[in-house]
Amino acid sequence: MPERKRLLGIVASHRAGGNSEALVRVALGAAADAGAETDIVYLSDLRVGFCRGCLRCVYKGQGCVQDDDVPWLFETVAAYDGLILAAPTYLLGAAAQVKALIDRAVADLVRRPGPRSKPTGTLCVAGLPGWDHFVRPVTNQLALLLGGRLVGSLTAYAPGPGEVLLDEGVLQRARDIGLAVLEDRLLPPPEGACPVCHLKRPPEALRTPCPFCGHDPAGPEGSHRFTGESLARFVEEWMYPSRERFLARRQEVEAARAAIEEFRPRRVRPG
Amino acid sequence: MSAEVDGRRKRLLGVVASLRRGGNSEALVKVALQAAAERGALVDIIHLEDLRLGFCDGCLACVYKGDGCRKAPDITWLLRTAASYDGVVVASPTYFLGPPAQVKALIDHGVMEFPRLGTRRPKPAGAIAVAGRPGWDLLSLSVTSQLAMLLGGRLVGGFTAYAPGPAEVLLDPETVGRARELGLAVLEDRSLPVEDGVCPVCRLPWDAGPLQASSGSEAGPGPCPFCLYDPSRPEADHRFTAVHLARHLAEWMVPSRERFLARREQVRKAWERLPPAPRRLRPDRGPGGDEGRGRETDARSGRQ
Repeated sequence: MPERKRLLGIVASHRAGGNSEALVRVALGAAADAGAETDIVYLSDLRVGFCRGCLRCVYKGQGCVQDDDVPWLFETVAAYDGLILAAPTYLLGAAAQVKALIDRAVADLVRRPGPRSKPTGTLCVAGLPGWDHFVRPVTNQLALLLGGRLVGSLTAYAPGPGEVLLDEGVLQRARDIGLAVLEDRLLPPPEGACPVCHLKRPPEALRTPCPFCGHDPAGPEGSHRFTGESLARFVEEWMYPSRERFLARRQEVEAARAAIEEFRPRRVRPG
Repeated sequence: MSAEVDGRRKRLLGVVASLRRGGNSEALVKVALQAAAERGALVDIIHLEDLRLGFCDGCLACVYKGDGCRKAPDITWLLRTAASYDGVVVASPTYFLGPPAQVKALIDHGVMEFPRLGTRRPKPAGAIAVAGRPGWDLLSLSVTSQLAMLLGGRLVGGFTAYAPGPAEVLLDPETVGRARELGLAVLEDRSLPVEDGVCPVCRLPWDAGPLQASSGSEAGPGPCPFCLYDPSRPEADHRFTAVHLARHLAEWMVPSRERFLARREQVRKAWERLPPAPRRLRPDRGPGGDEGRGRETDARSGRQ
């Protein structure tokens, strides 16, 4: 008997008893019924700081200077066999806490380079169709950065907390995603969208590389910007050299900055 | 004179969304403000690094009770303060294809302004996105524009600047010129021409999926999926106008509460039917280490 697989669910919503939590519970429940061990992380339990853009994680390679729970989250996810991530939509895109983890992922990529192939499923929740354009690609971006291999994804529409539990069709799809993650089995991607990040695109544009994840339908299968290999190349070929280029121009930049520093608008702050 | 309104000098606000001091966002906001100041405007600047920023928890108390968000006093302050100016210029960096999370955190909290939109006069706003390099910035300008429209009301111009190193953008005279031009356009409440290939309202690139061809019809491209700008009805409301958002509030958000309350008992029973809750993992911080978890992130120190 092989060892039981371990699946982790992440609830990105900070609202207790919301639809993201409900869908994670349903997806993990299906996997547990099929023999998986399941655990759950609520982002509302974590301290998550905003990336300062200092890039010390890239140039010094010692992780982030902030003392919070983001490194713990990335390390915890790495210990599991599969991941289910659920996020709510606020104002057309995934809630800011999803982007906060994406911004902070750079430190993890530098510390733990290499391929990522953990099967991952995403469960996006929005109130209303048509008000959710960026939720799938951005939530899937985090899924790819945390796990590596997106096997299934859905968008559910439910305005009130937990209301999604009354929609049996969506619950069945969440169970399917839970099982697909457990079995590491790719579900068919949606139509009219990039097959990697699920950005909706016009039919004629789908033959060209995706402007979000960089997936090129004419290129190698499974290639996109968020693979371990692509990101390592990005760091090597773009980020490191840009530092040298910047340092070579530093004195010029300092002179230009000194000129603008003489102009001092009044800085207003909350009282 | 364009720098005056109601017999007083116009006041412009610059908002630096970067938490990095001396970066490109700060540089370009200052350039835009300086151009306006030279024409007589009074100019102020807000750095998001001075604010305590947190994540919206979706409780919607701001919508149902009005009067802002008690859990996010600094964001409430920012939204109210911005509304008191005659124009706003916002600049944001790009991390991983879009603006950093603090920009989205402000947008998420922006729902607290919906009940007040009816009384707010739309002000001209300008958006500047800074990215390291072209092609890695799909969401940058449209999401920065979304914030600019939330803080101001009417987008008069927006552009993307490319510069990887801090303040390096100042060495590019063309971009500096565009920032000056944007500052003046906001001061004069004058719309700038829109670049080809982007949505004229939110600046989302056409190729990103806006303007999906209506399937099998000759009706031409459909509306922008982000801001709802419709090229066949260019004069119609887009999604981020006060009128549209107020209607969204009145016709969708407020009634959704009643609809939910009517189904509440069913939802409660559905929770009871769920499989047993999985183990809830938390970082082990030792005794007393849980302080500061949750929503209130202090952007001033980078820690909670």
